[in-house]
Amino acid sequence: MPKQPDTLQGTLDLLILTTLDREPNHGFGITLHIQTASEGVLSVEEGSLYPALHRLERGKLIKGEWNITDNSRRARYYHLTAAGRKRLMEAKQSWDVLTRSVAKVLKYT
Amino acid sequence: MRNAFKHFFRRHVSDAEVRDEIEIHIAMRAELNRQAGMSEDEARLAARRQFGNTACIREQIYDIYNFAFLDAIARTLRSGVRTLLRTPGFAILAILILSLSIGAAGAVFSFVDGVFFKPSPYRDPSRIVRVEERRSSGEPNIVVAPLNFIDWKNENTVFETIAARTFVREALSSVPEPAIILGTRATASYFDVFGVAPALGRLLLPEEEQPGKDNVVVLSHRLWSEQFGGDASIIGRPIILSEKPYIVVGVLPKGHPLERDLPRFWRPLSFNSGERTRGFHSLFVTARLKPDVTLDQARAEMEALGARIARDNPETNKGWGVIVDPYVDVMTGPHFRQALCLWSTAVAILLLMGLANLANLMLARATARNREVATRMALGAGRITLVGQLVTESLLVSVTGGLLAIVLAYAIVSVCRAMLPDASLPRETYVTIDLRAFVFMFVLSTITGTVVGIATALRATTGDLVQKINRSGRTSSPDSVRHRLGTALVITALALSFVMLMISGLLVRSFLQLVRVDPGFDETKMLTVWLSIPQNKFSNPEDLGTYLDEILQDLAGLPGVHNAAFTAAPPLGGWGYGMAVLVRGRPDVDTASRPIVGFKTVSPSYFDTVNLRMLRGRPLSRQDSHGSQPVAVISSTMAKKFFNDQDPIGQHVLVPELVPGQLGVGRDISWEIVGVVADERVSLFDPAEPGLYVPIQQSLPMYLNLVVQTNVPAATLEPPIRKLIHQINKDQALDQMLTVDQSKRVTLTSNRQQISLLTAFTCVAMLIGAIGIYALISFLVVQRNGEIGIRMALGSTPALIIKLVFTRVFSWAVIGAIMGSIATLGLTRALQALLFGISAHDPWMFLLAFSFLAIVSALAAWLPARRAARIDPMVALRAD
Repeated sequence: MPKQPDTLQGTLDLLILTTLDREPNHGFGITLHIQTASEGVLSVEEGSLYPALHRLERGKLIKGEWNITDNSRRARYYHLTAAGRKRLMEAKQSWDVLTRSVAKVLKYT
Repeated sequence: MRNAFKHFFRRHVSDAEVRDEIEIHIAMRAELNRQAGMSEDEARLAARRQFGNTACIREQIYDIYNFAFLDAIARTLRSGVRTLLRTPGFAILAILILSLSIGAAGAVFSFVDGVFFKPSPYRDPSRIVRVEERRSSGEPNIVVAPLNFIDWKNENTVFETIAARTFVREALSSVPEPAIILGTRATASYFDVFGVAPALGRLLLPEEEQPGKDNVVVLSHRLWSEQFGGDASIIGRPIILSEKPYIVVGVLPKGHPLERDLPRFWRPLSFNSGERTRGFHSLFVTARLKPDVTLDQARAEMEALGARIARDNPETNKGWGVIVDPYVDVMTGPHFRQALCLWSTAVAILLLMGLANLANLMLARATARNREVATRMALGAGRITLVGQLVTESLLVSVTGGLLAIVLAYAIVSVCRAMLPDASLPRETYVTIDLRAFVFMFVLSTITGTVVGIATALRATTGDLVQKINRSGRTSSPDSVRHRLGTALVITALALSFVMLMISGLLVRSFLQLVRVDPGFDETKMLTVWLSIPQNKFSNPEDLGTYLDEILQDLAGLPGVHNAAFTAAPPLGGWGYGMAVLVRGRPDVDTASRPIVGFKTVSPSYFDTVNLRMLRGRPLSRQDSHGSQPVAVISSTMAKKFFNDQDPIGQHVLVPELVPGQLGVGRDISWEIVGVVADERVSLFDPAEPGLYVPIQQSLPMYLNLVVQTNVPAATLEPPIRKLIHQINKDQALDQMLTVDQSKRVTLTSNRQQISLLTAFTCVAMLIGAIGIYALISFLVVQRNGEIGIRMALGSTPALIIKLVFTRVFSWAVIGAIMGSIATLGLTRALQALLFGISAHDPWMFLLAFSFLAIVSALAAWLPARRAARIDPMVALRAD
């Protein structure tokens, strides 16, 4: 059983993993994607993004490699590892459970 | 590909990479800002602001990759080393104390380990047992009579194999350097018991254990390499032992435990008809238990077998039994255990002293740093951190001390191994500083460091901070609790030193007594040499008598020779034989129950040669020859013990006949007592024993020694004596000639070595004690700087200050000596067993030990006392 990350932390990890599931991306790209995808509602605090990324990398869920961006800059691109993909599935499921349960509680009055 | 490699090997993302990554992120954000219409500078600043504190984030990431606590440990270590180096004196003293005490402990540990705990080198050693006889008196009789052994061998069902051996001395003559060597006659099964395989050729065969087929020999590896140049073609060729040829059939493997034994060759043990006896005990018996037989089962069966033999042979065996003991236990017998016990005690004392002194030093230091610690605590340093730091410091000291201790122990063991002859330890033991000793010392030093460190750290970090900050240094009265503890530790060390001094002092005195044992003649002018008398050459006692007389007569004409005699055992070399005796006319008892007395065959000139005075009757004479009435001279003690106030002259004693070259005795001979002679000192250790002397012609011994009393330095006479004997008989094999003084030295070698080691240990103990005193006084002087300053300012003189210090140290020494005396008195019983000719309560020894203790204490206190006397009152009062 993977260790259950606490919810807030887990949320950021979930967002990062989902973003990287689409395509490998660098830190700034991840920030932009989350902002765009949430239509501006979620803005990732940059100060916590990088520690989260490196924690995930140390946990071997993602892997970072230096690469060249579209406008020919150097950037560290992250992609999901197999373990990361597995963790994403589990995290998504538990997120579903969590949100459905919260919704039920909210409706129950 | 290269990338993959790089990632495979690199576990960490470096800080530089993280910085790059963050800078790129900020640059990208700035780019976006610019596109939104900000100015270049504005865009960059905004991006940076939005990102936040990059250093802080980098640190977080760094921590993700590096265990934060490892870093903290490195920091603590660095600061520990720094603090220690600030007071190198403390560090050096502490390390010295630790390495001395733990090094000594490690060395002795390897001895104890080597002797008692290391697995024996033999296959399945726990199954090897020693089988002995038990006398009707209940005492063990280590040597076994041949017929008893044969019965044991044939009738037992508990042993896989049972073996006997006895020792022989032979003249090896077919080699470039003829010599007299010690060998073994053993049953073929002896090698099976110990699981030996030959390096060359084969070992002995059971069918060789009969007269006529027993002319074969197995050589030790040592003899083979020393005398035969390691020549493999020796197998199948004869060597000459005491003028008889023996075919070499095999060579033992190099480095086998049997090689550490004294015997250099093995010959089959066969019994001729005269040796098939129960009355002559000469065999050492070992056996290997069957796999499914327990020691108790073996004991029970052998006891029953012994009872059966006693029932069938009451004359020789009535009341005798059988003892079965694990071989290992026998080898590390009580004497050895006693010595090792002594050692372990000495080392335990050293260790305790080391610990006490280390604790003392640390405590003194912790007190000196009281204010530093208190200030740091006041500034918010966590108690855990501080304790960690103090413990780290003591660990640094103890680990360094431990490493040095290993070096020291290695040196001690090497020196001891070089000093101790092979045969002084049981041959099975192999003493070396190995992994076990390493672990022992390392664990010991680490535990010491931790315990002492934690104890002092907890003391230093508890209590009222404000009071500590205010008090330490400035105030003149030191922390009285700490002071008392430190004093107690120093006194303990002194008391332990005193015990060590007493033990080693008593042993040295006892040793000197042994050296001074007066045999009644000048030992440096008494030459002895062992002669091999080939039995086939002098089967007729008359011929042998003539031969020996010829030698004595020629010797008498040699300048420098005062007197010469032949004897079965040289002066201080025992009796030669112990025989069961019965006074004729007294109630007959079976041989098994007769008392045993010393029995020495000598030439008539023996009493004059070793200065023994006749007390009654006449000495032996040349007229007491083979065929005439057997006569004996008895010792004064025998006369007292056996005849009380009656006149022994004319009485007869019955003693079985000795048959030379044979492991057996003949019929009883009735010896007429013709004289009583003063007691001879037959051994260094034992008091006078009853014994009797008989003429060589009337009872040929197996071994003969020539004793020559000279009136010139004895060594100069060796070549002429050798030449003279070889003129009479060029084939006469002669062992090395030794003066009695020299043989005594050899006998006392192990005592001497034990004492040198113990003295060395005592010196170490004193050194540790002295360092302890030095350290404590130094710290007290520093602590009481202010007080001393005030005293000086008020008119005290340096001499008075020195007196103050010395009075205090002297009172410590007195208390230490009193405590040490009490401890020594407690050890008296154990000690007395090790002492010879001196009481464990010897008052002079107490006085001597105390004087020594006082002098060493005074020396240790001298430097710091002088420093105290030189304190400038103005500086002392202003300082701090």
